[in-house]
Amino acid sequence: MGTPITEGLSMMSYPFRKLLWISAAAHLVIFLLIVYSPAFSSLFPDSKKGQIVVNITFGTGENPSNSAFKKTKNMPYSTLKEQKKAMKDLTKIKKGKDTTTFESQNKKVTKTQPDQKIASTGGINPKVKTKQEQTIDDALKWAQEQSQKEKLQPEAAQVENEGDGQSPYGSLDNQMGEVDAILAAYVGEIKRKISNEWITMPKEVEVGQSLITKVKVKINETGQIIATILDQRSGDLSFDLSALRAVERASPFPTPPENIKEVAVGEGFLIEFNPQSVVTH
Amino acid sequence: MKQIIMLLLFLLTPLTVKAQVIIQIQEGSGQKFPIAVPQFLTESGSHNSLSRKMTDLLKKDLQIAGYFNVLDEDRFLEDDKDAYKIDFSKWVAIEAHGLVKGIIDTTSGGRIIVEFRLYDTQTQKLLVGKQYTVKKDQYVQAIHRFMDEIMLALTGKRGPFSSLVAAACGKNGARQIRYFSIDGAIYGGLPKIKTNNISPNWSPNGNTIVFTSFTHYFPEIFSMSVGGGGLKQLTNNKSTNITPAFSPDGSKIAYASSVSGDTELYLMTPSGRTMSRLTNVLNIDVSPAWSPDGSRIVFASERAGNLHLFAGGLGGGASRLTYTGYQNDQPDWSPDGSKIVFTARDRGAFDIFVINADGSFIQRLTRDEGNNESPTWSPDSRYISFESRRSGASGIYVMMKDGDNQTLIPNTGGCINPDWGPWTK
Repeated sequence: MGTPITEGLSMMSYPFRKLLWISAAAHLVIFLLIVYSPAFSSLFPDSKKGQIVVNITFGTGENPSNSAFKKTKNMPYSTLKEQKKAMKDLTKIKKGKDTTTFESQNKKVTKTQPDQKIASTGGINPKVKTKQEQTIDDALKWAQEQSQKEKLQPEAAQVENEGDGQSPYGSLDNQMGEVDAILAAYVGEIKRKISNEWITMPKEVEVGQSLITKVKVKINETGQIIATILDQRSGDLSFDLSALRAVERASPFPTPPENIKEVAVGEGFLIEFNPQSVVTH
Repeated sequence: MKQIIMLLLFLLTPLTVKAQVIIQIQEGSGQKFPIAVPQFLTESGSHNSLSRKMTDLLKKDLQIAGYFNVLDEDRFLEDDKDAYKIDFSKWVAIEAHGLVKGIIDTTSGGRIIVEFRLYDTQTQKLLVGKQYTVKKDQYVQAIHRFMDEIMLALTGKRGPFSSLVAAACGKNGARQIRYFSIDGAIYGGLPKIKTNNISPNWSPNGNTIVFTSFTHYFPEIFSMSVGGGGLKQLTNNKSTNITPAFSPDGSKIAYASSVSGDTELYLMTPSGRTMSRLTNVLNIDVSPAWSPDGSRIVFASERAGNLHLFAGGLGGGASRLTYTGYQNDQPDWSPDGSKIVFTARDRGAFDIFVINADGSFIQRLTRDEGNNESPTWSPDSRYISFESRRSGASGIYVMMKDGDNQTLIPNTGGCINPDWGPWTK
C-alpha cells in the first residue's frame, strides 16, 4: 500500500472516514442519476458518435441527380425503360450465381492472416492492400465492368452538369478508408437484399414532402432477424407494411464483419425507408 | 479501494455509446403489386355472364395500369362462393397483397347495384369500399370508377380510367372523330362529317371537342359537343387552320393558321372570335399546347432552322426548349406541370421523347417500333397515349410515363392524333 489517497485515508479518524464514504456514494448516485436520465441524453440529440450511417444511392429514380447521367450529343439512344432495367439487373442479386457478392468474397478470406498493412520489410507500404480491401476493389471493379459492358448507361440529352455516366455504385477513385470500405460493402449487401424484396405502389405526396418509415431490426450472430419493430410510421399503413415485409423477407442478413459485429448484433439496425423513386409529385 | 475505483470506471464507460447501424432504402424492387380479383358474385353467391364480364374488365384495367401483378385464378386457395366471408390467411398464403371483392345485385327496372371492396390482406383492413347504382348496360362506368378508387387508395392519386381519349379514325383522307376509354370498353364518336377530320382536342370540362375538318375543302377549325350536336365553324379564312388546343380554363383556343401567308399561332374564343396573334417570327409555328396554369404555351417552330420546341407567355416572346434533334413536334404539357412529351425524328423514325418543363433532360420513351407520334398525357400525369404504326397500320397505344407497359387500345386500328380528355365527372 502506498498511494497518497489510501495513506491519507488511513490517517483520518473513523467517523470522518465514514462520512467521506457516504458523501462520495451520494455524489456518485446523484451523478449517475443525472447522466443516465433521458434529459441528459436529449442534450446530445444528433450525436454521431457511435452511429454508423452509410448512404449509398442505388438506381436512378424519378429525378436523379445530374451526375448519374451521361450527356448525349444527339437524342439518347436507350429508352428510359431500358436504362431502368439495366440498373435493376446490375443491383439484383443473382441468387447462387453471383460470385462477387460480399458474402461469397468474405468466405474466401476467412482463414487467412489478420489484416496486415505492414510489409515484411518493416515499413508501412500503402500499396499492399489487405485481402478484404482487395475483395471490395474486385467487387466494385466487377460492377463497373458490368455497367460498361451493358452500354445501357443512364443517358439523356440536354443534361445540365455532365456526369461520367458511371453506375452510381461508386468508382475505384473514391477515397474510402479501410473500415468504411468494408462497412460500405456489408451495408450495401443488406440494402440490396431489402430493396429487392420491397414491393410498394408509387405514392403521391406533396412537393417537398416524402413518406418515411423506420424499422428497427435485431439480428443474431448468424445474421438471422430475431425482431422487427416499426420505429417511425409514415401515416400510410400500406406503405409501412410494405417496409416491414421487405425487411422480414431479407432475412438472414449476411454475417457481420468483425469490426462492427458488436454494434450490429448488440444494437441492431435502423432501416429507414425514404424513397425518391417511389414517390411522385 | 482499487475495486471501488474499478467499479466507478465500469459504471461510467457505456455512457455515450448508443450505436446502431443506420441503412437508408431509397428504391424498391420494381416488382408489381400482387393483387387478387376472385370472380364477382351475385348476392346469392353465383356467377352470371354480367359478373364474369365485370370481373374480366377490372382485371384488364389492373393490367393496363401497369403497377399490378394480377394473380392467376388457378392459384387461389379460397373458394369464391361467399361474397362476404373472407379467410385472409388463404390470400396471404399465395402472397396477394391486395384483394378485390365484388357483389352485383340486379334490381327491377334494368338497374344494378354493385358493391366493390379492396382489402389489404396482411392487416385484413378494408382500404376502400364503394357502391354504385347504374343501368345494366353502363356497368363499365362503375368498373372504371372503382378502378380509379383502387389507385387512389394505394397511391394517393386518382386513376385515369374514368376518362376518354379522342382520335381521328378511318382511312387516310376520310377520318372521323371517335372517342374511347383506354381499355376499349367504351367506344363512341361524333356524327359523320364529310370528308376528312383530324386533330381533335377536348375542352377542359369534357363537353366539347374542337378539331380540324376539310369539309369545306380548306382545313378549318370546328367545334362540336360530345353528344353530337352543336356543330360550329370557328375559323373561316380559306387557308390552313390546324392543331387547335383549348386553354385549361376553357376560355380560349390556341391554333395555328396560315391566314397571314406564314403559319403562325393565334388565340380565339370558343365561339370563334379571333382574340390575338401569338407569334410573329417568320417561319412555321405550329402545334400549341398549354401549361396547366394557362400562362404559357409550348409549340413547335422552325424559326431556328429545324423544327424545335419553344415556350412563351401569352404576351409574346418565346424561349427555346430543345437544342437536340432536328424535327421536334406535337408537344403536350403534363397536367402536373412537370414534363412535356413530344415526338421527334431520330434514326430515321418518329419516336416519343419527354423533356422537363424547364428544358432539361430529354429522355427517350420508344425506339425500334415503327413511327410513334402525337403523344398526349392522362389527366393524372402518369400515362401517355400515342399513335403508333409498329404493326403496320396506325393504332392508339397507352403507356406509363416511363415508357413501360405499352398497350394497344382495342378497336383503334386506323386511328391517329389521340387527345386524352379530362375525368368524366
